[in-house]
Amino acid sequence: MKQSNVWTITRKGIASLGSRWFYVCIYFLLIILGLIFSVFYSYGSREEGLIEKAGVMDLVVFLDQISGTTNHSMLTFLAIPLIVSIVHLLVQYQERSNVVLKIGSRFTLWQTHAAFAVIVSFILTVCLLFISYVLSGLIVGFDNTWITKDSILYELLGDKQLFSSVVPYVSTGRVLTVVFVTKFLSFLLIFFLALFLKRFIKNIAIIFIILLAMSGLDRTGMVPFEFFTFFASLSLEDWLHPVHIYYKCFYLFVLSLFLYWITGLLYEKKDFLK
Amino acid sequence: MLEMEWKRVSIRPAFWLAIVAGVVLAVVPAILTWPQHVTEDYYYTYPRSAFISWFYLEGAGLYYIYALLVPLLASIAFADSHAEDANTGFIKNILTKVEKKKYFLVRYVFNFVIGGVVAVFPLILNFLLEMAAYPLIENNYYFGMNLVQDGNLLPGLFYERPFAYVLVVVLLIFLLGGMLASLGLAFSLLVKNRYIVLILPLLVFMALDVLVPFSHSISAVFLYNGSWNFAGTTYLAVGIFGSFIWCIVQGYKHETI
Repeated sequence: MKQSNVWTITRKGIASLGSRWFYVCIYFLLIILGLIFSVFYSYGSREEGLIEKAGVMDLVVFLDQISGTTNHSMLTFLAIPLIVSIVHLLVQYQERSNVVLKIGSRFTLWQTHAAFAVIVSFILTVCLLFISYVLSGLIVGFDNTWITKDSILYELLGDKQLFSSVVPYVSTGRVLTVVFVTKFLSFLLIFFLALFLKRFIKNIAIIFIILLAMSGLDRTGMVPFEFFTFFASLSLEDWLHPVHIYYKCFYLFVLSLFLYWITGLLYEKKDFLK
Repeated sequence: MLEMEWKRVSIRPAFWLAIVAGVVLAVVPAILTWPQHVTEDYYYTYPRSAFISWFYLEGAGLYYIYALLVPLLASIAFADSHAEDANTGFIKNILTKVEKKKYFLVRYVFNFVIGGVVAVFPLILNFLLEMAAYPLIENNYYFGMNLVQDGNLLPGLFYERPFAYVLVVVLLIFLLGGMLASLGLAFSLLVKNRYIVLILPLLVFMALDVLVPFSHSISAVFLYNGSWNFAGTTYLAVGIFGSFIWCIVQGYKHETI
């Protein structure tokens, strides 16, 4: 099969979700709005005066690793439900007998799934970043407060002398780039993990249970190391030691690659007649 | 028909999966808090009690995962049963023997009860295990047992009648589980895909959780020991009565069955 066919089938796969993309957008917008306001709810009541210093970056990627539109809460409440649902609908469409016959090879079928995952992850990341940045900016203004001393970042810094060393890493462009890369890789990881699990489990509710349990387990710290959505989220520590961000990206990339490889192998052995 | 429903649920793998998940969620925290290296003297003084060891009041660790999974556990047990019946055509066999109104009524009530039971099962099991590990001594605010305070659910009841407090919490979560399962059932009259039906209550739960301020959010009111407020009543009223009316009216009107 020609390489271009992968893209044609992927494009058809995306189009096959049809009106469901509308519901995806509604859920997407609702959760983003909720996540923006939840920063105000949780920090407005907890520490007086702190939330008044909130800037656009705080709403996009709060420093506690949980809040904000691109941190752990987003991955749990938005990314996992959305991606697992999309994967379910995709597999249901792409693995119908007539589509499988048209594709002709298991390898190409898996390639179309992988291409779909990459494209949709990219689109979701761009939309997430754009919408959350614009909405947050409209609420608190587009100034990056992190580079000034009148910011939550400065308030939360234990050692204030570290501030000057952090500033170069928290310019608007750098923060958005880091958030883009980590979120893109996180979405990709969730996509491949969902596709991997979908290979064995038909019921997406069970896939949900597994992924949410993993996400919850990661956050509770019951496992001695972070390994999933909590690891993919950014905290103050990461901005203080930017090398952590490289580790995170490397880990997410390698794990996604491993899942791509192993699920590809499983697809090679898949029996479509059963 | 009730007997048939019970037989069906008892052979459903998804129901047993929810029960197994509940066992894991209940047993692991009990093992982690199990008293170790203690002598009988430990119990002569003022030891930890079963009430404060209950994982509902701890609110962290595996309880966080339980709180995340409640909507799924409640709905996975039986909420997709109508969608399954409609998709396979089994509903036609049932409706030749049972009146349509009765079918939807029994289905609603049974699904509600099963959803509630699956939701409270980990709580009850964990409490029983904690009772096996720790004595049921009276809660005392001044001995490190001040887990329920003014901003929480019924603090007076917790210190005066702790058993009644446990029952109230279990009842509330039972209603939450039943409500979420009913929502799934109501969605199954709109959506054909039974797997999507199972996850819709979770999506609604998550959206409400994120959109509503924490003090009034559905998980804070029901699962994180928040004080009872109008939001809790609204969730239950809309969720239970809304889904009930929807199921009965819509199901009864549905002529294509």
